[in-house]
Amino acid sequence: MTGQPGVTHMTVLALLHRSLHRSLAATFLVGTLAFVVPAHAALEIDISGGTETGVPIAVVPFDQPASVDDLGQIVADDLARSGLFAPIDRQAMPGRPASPDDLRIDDWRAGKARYLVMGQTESTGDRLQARFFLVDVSSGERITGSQISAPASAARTIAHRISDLIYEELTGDRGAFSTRLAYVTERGGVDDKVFTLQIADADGANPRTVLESPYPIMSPSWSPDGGKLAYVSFEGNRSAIWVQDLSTGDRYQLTDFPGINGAPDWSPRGDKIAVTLSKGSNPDIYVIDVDTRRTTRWTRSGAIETEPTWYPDNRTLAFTSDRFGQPQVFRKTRPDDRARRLTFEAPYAAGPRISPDGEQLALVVREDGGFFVAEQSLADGDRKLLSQGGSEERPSYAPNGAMVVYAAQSGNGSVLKISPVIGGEPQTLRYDRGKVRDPVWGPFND
Amino acid sequence: MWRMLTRMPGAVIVAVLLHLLLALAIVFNQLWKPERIEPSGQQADQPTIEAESVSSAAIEKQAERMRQQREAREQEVKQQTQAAEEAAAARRAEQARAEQLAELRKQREQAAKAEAERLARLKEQQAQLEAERQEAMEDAKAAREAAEAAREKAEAERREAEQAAQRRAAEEKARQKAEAAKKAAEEKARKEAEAARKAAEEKARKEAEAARKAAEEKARKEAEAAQKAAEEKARKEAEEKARKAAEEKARKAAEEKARKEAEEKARREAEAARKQAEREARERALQEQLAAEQQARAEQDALSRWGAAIKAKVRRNWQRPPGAQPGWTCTVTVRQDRDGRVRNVSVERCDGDRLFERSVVQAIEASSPLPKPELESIFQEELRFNFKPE
Repeated sequence: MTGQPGVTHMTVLALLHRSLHRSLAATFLVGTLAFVVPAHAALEIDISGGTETGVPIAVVPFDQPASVDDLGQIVADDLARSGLFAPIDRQAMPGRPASPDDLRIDDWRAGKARYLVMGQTESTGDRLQARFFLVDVSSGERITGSQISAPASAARTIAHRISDLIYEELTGDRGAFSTRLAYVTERGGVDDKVFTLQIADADGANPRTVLESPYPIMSPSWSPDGGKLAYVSFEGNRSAIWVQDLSTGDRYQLTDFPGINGAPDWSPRGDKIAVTLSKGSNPDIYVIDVDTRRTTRWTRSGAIETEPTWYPDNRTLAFTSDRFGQPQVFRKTRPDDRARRLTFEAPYAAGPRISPDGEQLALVVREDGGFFVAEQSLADGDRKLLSQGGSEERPSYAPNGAMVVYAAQSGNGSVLKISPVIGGEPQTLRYDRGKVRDPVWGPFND
Repeated sequence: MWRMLTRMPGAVIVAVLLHLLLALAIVFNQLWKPERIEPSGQQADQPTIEAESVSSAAIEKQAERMRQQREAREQEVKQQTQAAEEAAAARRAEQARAEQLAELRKQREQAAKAEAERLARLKEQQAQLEAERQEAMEDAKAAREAAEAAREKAEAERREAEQAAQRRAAEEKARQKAEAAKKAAEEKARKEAEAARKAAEEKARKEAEAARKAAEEKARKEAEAAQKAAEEKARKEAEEKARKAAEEKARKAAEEKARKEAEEKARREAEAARKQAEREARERALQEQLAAEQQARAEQDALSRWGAAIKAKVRRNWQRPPGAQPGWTCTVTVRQDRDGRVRNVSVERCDGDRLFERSVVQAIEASSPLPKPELESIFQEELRFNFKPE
């Protein structure tokens, strides 16, 4: 409510008093009042608070062949994982429309859902033809819709693509549901340990092993084109950095320095790889030119410096250093720059990753005796926790920056979890019998 | 001349006949004379030697006798001529007199006409009366002067005629000294002519005088009468006018007074009516003001409650998506119909992401129909909402 109607009212009264001595007052008054009532300033209403909740969205089960994965469920899970949406229970749906012709919008208006996704899929030979619609339940308008075709074996990619389109339409940001993850698993007993390097869909489905080894595998890093992985392998009981082509399986050794060869991170343009090398001494940060293999040393302190990671500018590095006693995150733009500290007020800060927009820092902090994945604003240093367990490590940003994947202890094993950076309940991707660690989110598939 | 001829054809014919007679007499005299003289001359040129001789004395006597006879005849002719001339003079005098009379008559007519015109004008214009009267008098004077002039002219002509007659008589007298016999005739003729002349003269004079006097008198009397009539008329008209003016003035004064009184009365009544109307208007305005204030208060309260009801419903329906940042604000303008059904939601300004903006629009749409106000009068078709996360 504003004071403006009152002000108008007062003005009218003042006018009235002034015009009382006139015989015309009566007519004037009537005319003025008739005019004043609709002349109230527009009623202004402030709404604050509201209920913060995932946007209720109804993803109606698609009209699809039974042999194909439940595309509607895949879409609903994708959207739920973003933290922005709250897909409603199928049991609460008042109908199962597959196209606008079947949709009785008034039935849906009575329910919770604000958006509705429906679609149908046909199998023609070895291909799938899908069609979907996104409807605004409140207004009844069809917001978007599309037709997607894919091989029958790639049914899930159709669902992820639909998720991306919905996400992009409703948020204005690019969806990252069609991307991939890479991670390392460890299973087996003391005598028969098996380490694998795996890639999977962004929801953890479709895992493929790209390397299996009796020796530990660590720290995979995607080439920006998504075609290669660099990783650390302890083959022969000494660490080395390898680069492997994912489509061919070809691999080569990038570094084989004495001592530690670890934590490779591919630069955003793919021309450089930052690594940690000890060369028989304490670990320092080096940058290796991918083509010439020329190595440049970036740090020279007597402390441990490791976990280098690139800024999107392709020339600045963030890294962890214990030069002040405990691990903290620093950054450098050139090898001879003074390192600038980025993390304060935390006894432990490690595992840094810079968000794709360059504005946030994801990291692991120690708090209340636990290790949590957190996100810190590079602008003002504000930090918020993204994980809830207290034994999380190695966060990695989705290419749209909306989610972070990390490893978390779970009972005797460990799992991958994804947290929306806006906060909210983390989603657990999969539970392996062994341990899952060092997840890293791949680039967009384009 | 033609006018005279037409006016006095008898006199003219007599004059012409007289002239013709005289001319015939002269011709006969001339025709006779040569017949008598020429034979004598021949006789004188042809001496009769053989006949008895005639004494020169006898011849002288005879010649003398014959000469006397001739002169007497000549004298007679002269006298006749003179008489004729005198008659002509008398006729001319008569003519002049007649002309004078005609002139006088004409002048009278003119004067009368002028008088008539003047009278007519007098009727028309009271103010010109005096001038016209003078003009009439002048006219009369002019007529008098004209008559005088005519009289003087006649006198002069008469004197001239007399002088001519006397001169001729004198000449004749001198010649008559030699001729005694002739004298009697001459005298007689002269006396007769004189008498005739005098008689004619006297008559002409008297008639002219009488005519003049009559004309003068008439003109004078007419002028006097006209003047008197004009004066009388002017006086009467002036009196009438004065009377009428007085009446008119009195009437107007009465009217003016009545008018003023009526005006004054009307003014007082209008004033009273105006004051009454103002009083009523004031009371009405006060009552309406009170009513308006009450209405305004009631509307204000109703508006507050309406706003609160709308706010509660929209807030309940706002499902704010995660990630809204403090400081985000969305301002939307909403158009509704009388039943509260949302017709249009337009985002004026939104600091926030797309999902946030969508949630705001959906909150409004999900709240349709919006609560209705208690008072129809405060209904507003357009509402504004400011959405803030905190």
